Parts: sequence; structure tokens; C-alpha cells
Amino acid sequence: MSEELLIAYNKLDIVEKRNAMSNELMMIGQMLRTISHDLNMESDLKVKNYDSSKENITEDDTLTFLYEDVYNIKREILQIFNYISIKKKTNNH
Amino acid sequence: MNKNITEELLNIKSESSKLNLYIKLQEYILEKTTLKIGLDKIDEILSILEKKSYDKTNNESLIKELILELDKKGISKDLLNEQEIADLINKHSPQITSTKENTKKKPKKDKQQIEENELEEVLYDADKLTKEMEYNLRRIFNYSGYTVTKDDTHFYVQNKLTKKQDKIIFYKDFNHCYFESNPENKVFINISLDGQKYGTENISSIDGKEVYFEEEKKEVIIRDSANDITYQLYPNKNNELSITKIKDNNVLADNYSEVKKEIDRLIPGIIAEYIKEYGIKDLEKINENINDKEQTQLDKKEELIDELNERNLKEFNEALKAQQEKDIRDASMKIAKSNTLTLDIGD
Repeated sequence: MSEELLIAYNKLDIVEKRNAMSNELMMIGQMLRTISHDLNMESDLKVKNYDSSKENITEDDTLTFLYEDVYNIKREILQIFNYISIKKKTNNH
Repeated sequence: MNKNITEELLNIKSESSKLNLYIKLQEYILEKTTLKIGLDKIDEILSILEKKSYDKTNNESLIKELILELDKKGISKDLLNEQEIADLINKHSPQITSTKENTKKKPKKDKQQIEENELEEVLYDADKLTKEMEYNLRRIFNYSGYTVTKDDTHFYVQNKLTKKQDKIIFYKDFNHCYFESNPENKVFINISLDGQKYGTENISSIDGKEVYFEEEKKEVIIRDSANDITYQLYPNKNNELSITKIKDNNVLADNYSEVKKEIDRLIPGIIAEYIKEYGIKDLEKINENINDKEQTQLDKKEELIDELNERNLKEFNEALKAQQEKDIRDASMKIAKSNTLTLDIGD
């Protein structure tokens, strides 16, 4: 990430920071679902869309909200990783 | 004797004032009883007057003479003995005798006639109703929730709340008046003909509400007889509006805004009129203005923050776009390198 982007992100207010973070997570989720689909894997990954109008959401709520998405994404990546590893092993044999 | 009273008594000439003359004499004598003449003496005087079939409407000169005698000799316990009074009355006996035949019937008739004269309705007279009196009159009704207008013959009032219009009918003495629609509801104006200033004695009693003015202290006292509540409006040392609410002789510490609303419900517009009339500051209004100013500043601040956020978001989106373009370029290069490497290995 460039310094300019980091500085620009830092200047955002809390709501927009959360929005930007949510956007990145949704994009990651979308890409993982595409990969899973290409690999003929079933995927139940869902990433929530942060609603910027809910300004009253606390930092505590935000962390819980994001942790669930991050955890699900990690699990999806692990599944893909395992799948590729198994495939590689199978191909080598 | 109080010189002013003597002069006042001696100068009364009009027919309608004879009753006043008699009343004033009685008041005068009664006033003195507490000082030098015993009550028994007063009874004695009145008894002699009654015995002589004293006709209070036709014996102006007798009364005047009595007063002059009192004034001349000064008041002492022994001054007015029965003989002296009898002498005075006898001096006027021809006059009394001449009316004696009618005295048993006439006093009542005359009294009734006088009262009728006093209470006879009149058009307001510009010469008698001075500007100051008119000002006082307008204030009484204004403070009581009415708007006052006039034409060449009458004053009119309009209830500020109900918008109902009415005509004011004066009695001859100009101390009383009533609304044309409700002759039973007499309003005691007590505006003095010599244009004396307002005092606490000035009362207007309208629809069961009484309003008292105290010009010097800039005070207004409102009495709600129906609920036995008294409100007092006065300026504090900083000339800011203060309100006291009294019920059953206890000062109630009620909410200031609520009490204000209560008074306005009782007599619409009175507080606004009071504040305007005496140039008193309404703290609530001042606070409202301060709050408004603070709110405006907050709004402005919020606007600025919104503007800043918008600018920052735009800046971020531009930086993000640039970063993503760079990421794509980097990824293409990596893929190209990877393909070259694969080709190299393949070769």
C-alpha cells in the first residue's frame, strides 16, 4: 500500500474507515467465492455489508462485526489451501 | 382638619356630589373619633341630625358650616356638644322646615335619584377623561387581556383570546364601567378625575380576575380568585423578570416556564405587555437566544465537518483508485515474469 493511500485512509472519519474496511472485505469474499466456484468447491462464505447509516454502532460492535467476517474469510482460504494441497499431492502421484 | 379635605368639601358644587359630601363628612367625623371625639359623640351628632329630619341632599350649607366650625375651633372632646350642633342646625331650620313635609318620603327618593344619576351611563367626555386617565383605562384592559379602541362616542374592547368585541359603557362618575353585553359585570376603574398616578388601589376586576399595578416598583399582581392563587410579577435587581406564585399564603416553587404559561392562559399576553411596558428582560427569551446561537454554531461546525469528510473521502477514493491501478500493473508484470520464467523452464 502506498503512503498516500495510508495517509488518505487515516484522514477518514470513523464511519468512512469502517466503510472502506467493509468494502475490502466484501471484495476479498467475492474473489474467494469465485475461486471456490472455479475449483468446483461448495462455498457458503458470506461477508456482511457495513451500513454506514448506523453511525451509533460502537467500536466494540464493529470489532465483533468484522471479526466474524475475517474468521469466515480465513476459513474459506484454508479450505481452498487444503483443496489445492490435496490436488497437488494427487497430481504428483 | 386636613386642609385638602376641607377645600375639597367646600368646593363640591354639583348636584351629583352632594351624596359624596355627606359621605365625606361622615368619614371625617369617624376619622376623628379615634383621636379626640368618642364614638358616643358621633352617635350624638348623628342622632341630632336624624331628630332634626336632616335632609342630606338639601342641607349643603349646613354641612359646610359644620365643617367650618370644626375647622375653626379645632377638634377637642368638648367642642361639639349637643347644644352647639343644635344651634347650628336651628340656624338653618327654615330651610329644614320648608322641606319637612317631604322629608319622610323624599330622602329615599332623592337617594335613589342620586344613585341613578351616579350610575347613569354617559358617553366619554374628552374634557373629563384626560389623556392620562385614558392611558390608565387602556392599560387596565390591556393587562386584562383586551385590546382597546375608540371612536367619537365610545371605547371598545376586544378579547385578545376569544376575539369577542364589546362596548364599554361608563357610569357618570367615570370610576365604573361595564361591558355592553354584560351589565352585571361592573369594572371598577378607579381612575381619579384629577389624573392622579396609579397606585396599588387601582384594581380591575374582569371575569373573576383582578390585576393590581404598582407603578413605582414596576410590579403587577394578578389575583385568580377562582383558584385562590396570586401571581406577582416584578423585576429583580438586574431588571430581569421574576415571578412569584402564592397559594394559601405559601410561596410555591413551581417551574418558571410553567408558571409563565399559567399566567398567559389566565390573561393572554399580559407578560409580553408587562415586559414591553417596563422594559424588563425575559431571561427565558435571552436563554432561548443563546441556545439558538449555540445551535447555529453547532450546525455550522457540523457543516464544516461534513465538508471536510467529503473532501477526505474524495481524496481517499482517488488514492485508492491510484493504488488499485498500480496493483493491477504490478500483478500484470508479475504474471508476465512468471510466464517468462515458465517458458524459460519449459524451453
